[in-house]
Amino acid sequence: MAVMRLYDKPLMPVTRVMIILIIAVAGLFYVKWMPYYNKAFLASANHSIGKSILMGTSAQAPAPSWQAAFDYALAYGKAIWQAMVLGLLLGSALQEFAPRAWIAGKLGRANLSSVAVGGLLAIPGMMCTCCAAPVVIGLRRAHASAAAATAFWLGNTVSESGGSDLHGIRAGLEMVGLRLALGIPLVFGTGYLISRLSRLGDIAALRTQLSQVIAESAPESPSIRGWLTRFARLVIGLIPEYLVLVLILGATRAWLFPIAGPALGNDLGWIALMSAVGLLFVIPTAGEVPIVQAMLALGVGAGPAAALMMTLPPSACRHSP
Amino acid sequence: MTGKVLSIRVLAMISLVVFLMGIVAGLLAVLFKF
Repeated sequence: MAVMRLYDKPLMPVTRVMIILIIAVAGLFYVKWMPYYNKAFLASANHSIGKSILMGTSAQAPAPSWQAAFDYALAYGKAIWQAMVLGLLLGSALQEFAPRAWIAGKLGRANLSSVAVGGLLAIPGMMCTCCAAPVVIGLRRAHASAAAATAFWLGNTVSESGGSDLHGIRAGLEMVGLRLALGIPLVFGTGYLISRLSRLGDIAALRTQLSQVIAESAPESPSIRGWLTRFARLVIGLIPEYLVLVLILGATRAWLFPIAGPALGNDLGWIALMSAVGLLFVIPTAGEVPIVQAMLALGVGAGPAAALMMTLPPSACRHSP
Repeated sequence: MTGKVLSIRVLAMISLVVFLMGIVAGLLAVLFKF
């Protein structure tokens, strides 16, 4: 009975914020910061952080088949499941426990200030798009603006790729510089662009919504039961969708990456094609590093490789929340 | 849940900007002879 009472008991605001902070800090430490720290030593010693998830050690991705789909989904699932669980826990906790008035005030406006806060909050996250998506859903439902949520979403993937160790890759340092130089305007520029594209009517409606949210935020009674319900809804809403997408992309990766050799040169056409393919495909955190490393070793031009390095982490089309 | 919390217009804008950034990255890599 005591457990049931705790389960349904409305939580104090301080307890709610503490739950969010503990999940965020302890989860990120275990799932992201510590493995990244260890991975840096691995990369330094071996000049590699593993095999390409796309094609392993072979020169070509496997032909489209159920086996190719299943193998890719399994490799992808093994790589991301911990971060995905963290994303789902954090996203559902934000929906249930987040101080909505604070989020609406700091992240709820369609202006540069909200975009900046969204982008800066993402820096410690270093999540791939699929794992950041539940958190973006949580933020949006806690009344963050589309512009701030976009900055948060892209900021995660850019900080993830900015933190990737490219030691051992041809022009690794230059690639890091390029990703940071383009990643910062990508995060803040896209968020700002979205805020500018909001119609005047949208902004007026947002302001009204913001005042209502602040007025209505006091009488909530969030509980552990509510959190678990939201967690279950996120799992049911997101996981089957992810599974289908990963299976399809895993099966068809040989069509998306038909060649990997000197024929994939520095022409504008190849660069644009690899940019588009990178946007469509899904990879785990830092998965683009061994993919590009393998492609460069097979003689692919630096132009298409850099395009892939830039567009694979945000893969915005596929894992849209 | 696709499109439920970010509109299609926003998702299209993000995709376009990322795509263009990829092309810029590729061209810069060629220009600076990576």
